[in-house]
Amino acid sequence: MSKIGLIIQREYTTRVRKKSFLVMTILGPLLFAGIIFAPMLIANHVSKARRVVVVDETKSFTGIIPATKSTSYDYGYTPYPISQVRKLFSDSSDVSVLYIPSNIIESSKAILYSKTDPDVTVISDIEYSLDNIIERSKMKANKLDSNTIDQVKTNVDVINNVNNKVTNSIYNLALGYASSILIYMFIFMYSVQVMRGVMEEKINRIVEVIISSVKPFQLMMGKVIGVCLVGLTQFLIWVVISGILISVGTGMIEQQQIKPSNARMEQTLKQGVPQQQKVNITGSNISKNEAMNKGVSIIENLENTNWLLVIGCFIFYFLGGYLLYSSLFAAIGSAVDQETETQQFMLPVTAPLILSIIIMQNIIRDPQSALAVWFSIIPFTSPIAMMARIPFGVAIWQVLLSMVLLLTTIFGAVWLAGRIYRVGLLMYGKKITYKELGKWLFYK
Amino acid sequence: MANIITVSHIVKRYAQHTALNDVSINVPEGTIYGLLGPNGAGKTSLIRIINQITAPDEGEIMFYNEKLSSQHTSKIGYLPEERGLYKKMKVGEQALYLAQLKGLEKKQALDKLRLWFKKFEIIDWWDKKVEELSKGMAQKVQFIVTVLHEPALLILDEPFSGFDPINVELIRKELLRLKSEGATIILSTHNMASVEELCDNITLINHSKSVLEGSVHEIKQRYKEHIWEVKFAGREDAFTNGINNRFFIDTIETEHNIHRVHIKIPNEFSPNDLLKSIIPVCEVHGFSEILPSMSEIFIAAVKG
Repeated sequence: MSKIGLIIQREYTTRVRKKSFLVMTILGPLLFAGIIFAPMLIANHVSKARRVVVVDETKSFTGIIPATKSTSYDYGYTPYPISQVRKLFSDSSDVSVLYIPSNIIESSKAILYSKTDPDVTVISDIEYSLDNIIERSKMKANKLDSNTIDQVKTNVDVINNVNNKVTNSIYNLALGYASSILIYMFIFMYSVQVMRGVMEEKINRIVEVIISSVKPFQLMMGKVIGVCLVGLTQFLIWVVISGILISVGTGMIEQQQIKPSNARMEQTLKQGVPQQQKVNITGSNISKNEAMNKGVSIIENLENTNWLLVIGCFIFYFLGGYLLYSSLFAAIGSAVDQETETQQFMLPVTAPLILSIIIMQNIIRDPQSALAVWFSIIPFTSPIAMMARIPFGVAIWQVLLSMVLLLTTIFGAVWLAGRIYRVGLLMYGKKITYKELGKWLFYK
Repeated sequence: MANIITVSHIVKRYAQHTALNDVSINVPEGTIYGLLGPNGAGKTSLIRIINQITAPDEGEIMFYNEKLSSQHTSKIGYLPEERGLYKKMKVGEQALYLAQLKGLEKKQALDKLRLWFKKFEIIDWWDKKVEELSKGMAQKVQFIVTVLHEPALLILDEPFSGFDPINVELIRKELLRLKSEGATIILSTHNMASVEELCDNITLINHSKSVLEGSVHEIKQRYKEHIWEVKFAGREDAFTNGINNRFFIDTIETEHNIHRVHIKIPNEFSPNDLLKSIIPVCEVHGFSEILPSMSEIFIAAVKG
């Protein structure tokens, strides 16, 4: 086996056999799944509904305010005066008293009395319900019957057709966002591993023995490639496990979603809420329809996405970004004696990475803006910025320019890193400055 | 005898200072060559250049008749002064890796390693992690991987520093054995006793320059001060009268009625002249020349 092959093999096998690799390989997908599902679960989480007692001075709301996930009206409506009802429930922390004053139509104001602050959704749900009821009663007052109202209700779908392809920008956004974040994480995690590996060899003082057998450049590239393979292995395992976890998780959440909405439907039916209101207020039917619409759209998108381009670019920027940054991190690792010293050099190297993640919001909002175009062409930010833009469609010259610039920069960075690396490895106990690093470039 | 390494007019500059200034050495094959000099004189810089870890700014190095190049690394074994191992790696695996980097085939390397591990009594540690080894055992592993590929040239930077006395003895014996089998050894050391005992030739580097070069025997001859030691029984004053101010007494020590005198013989006289003048006045028990120790030569040369 060639010497660089031996180095790659050692880097790979020692890392893959580590316990931390195993732990991260298992925890990684759980973490991913957690990041994806935690907000969904929290949003879906049915906390105990707030019981609301209604004091309705107008009598026109009695019995028709629909229950929602966050509110229930099973304590019912009471004809007693508000002061008395308030006193009655002043000690119950899970019961609120909704006071609908007689002048609500003119004032548009109601009051919810509670001992403890209710969930934000409680207020918004009640507001939404009351709005609906009042709107309808106003329309009725203007001699519009409920059939007319339903006929008037309109929901236009604007189909996004780009270059004769129907696309969904939410979907493109998700694809761009996800692939950029993956590239960012990969670059960061594994470049730091390269840096640590270099420091380990330097601090252990094994490095001098090794570079008497191989060229420092071979050692550096062997490490960069070896760690890359470790990363790809871990990444592949993650994709598989995450895929399984996400499909299982989505299935579970969908089941959960169906149950409560059915229960609610029954409840509202029992309370005799007019059919039309239910459709407008409960929201469950609407969201189902939307999901259906989106489902169709996503399938169309899957067909319309230029997967060859997306996957090709992903692999290119994934590896290109890693090569660029890991070689610079290797140089940092070689220049310092201690972990704490790495900070001063890491900041300028990681700044473009972090910057590109920060402005990614703007890039995906307007992928053709000057900012987005520039960031996707400048080599240090292009792996992340370009990947965020690719799903939206990018002019081919921009992609090619960005790739050529990235490749050129990689060669430059690897050369530069190699120069620093071979000198840095044997420098001990010296406070390294940028000036010093500059001199190393010209040592023979 | 051919030179295995010929270093000609090497200059190595760093930003702030010159580490080597026009240094030349010739290392004859099959000998042990000592690189001496105070800390920071440039020994390690020279060793790194011969190992092709760094390149000189000027000058050239020949390996036999070829310009030194990367194809020669498999013919050189190097034990640096600051030597370490991967702590988390298993001992055997690591030794195998380092051997393969030197160009040995896996099978061949394993066979050789087993032999050496048995010889150095560390075979039981094959599957242990390096961090579990004592320092002495780690040193043995380091020495083994340096010599495993049977290099024609062995370069050892301060091989005896940090080794315990048992390992020092072990390595000293191995070095002599390797030399007898035809290997050439360059060693840099502060340990003057080992220089006297092991080295055939030396170069003394001071302030980036070679200040003294030659065979140990020849250098001692060059630095000798014509002092002879005479052991005799008899009266001290008779002895002093006998030499009659032609020779200069350096020191006199007396033990069990035997006097031991160091006498400097001036250039116009020979040792025989001294003997002639003292035989009539005392009973001579011993007569030998005092040669300077390497340590004295070292100090004299460094102080100028």
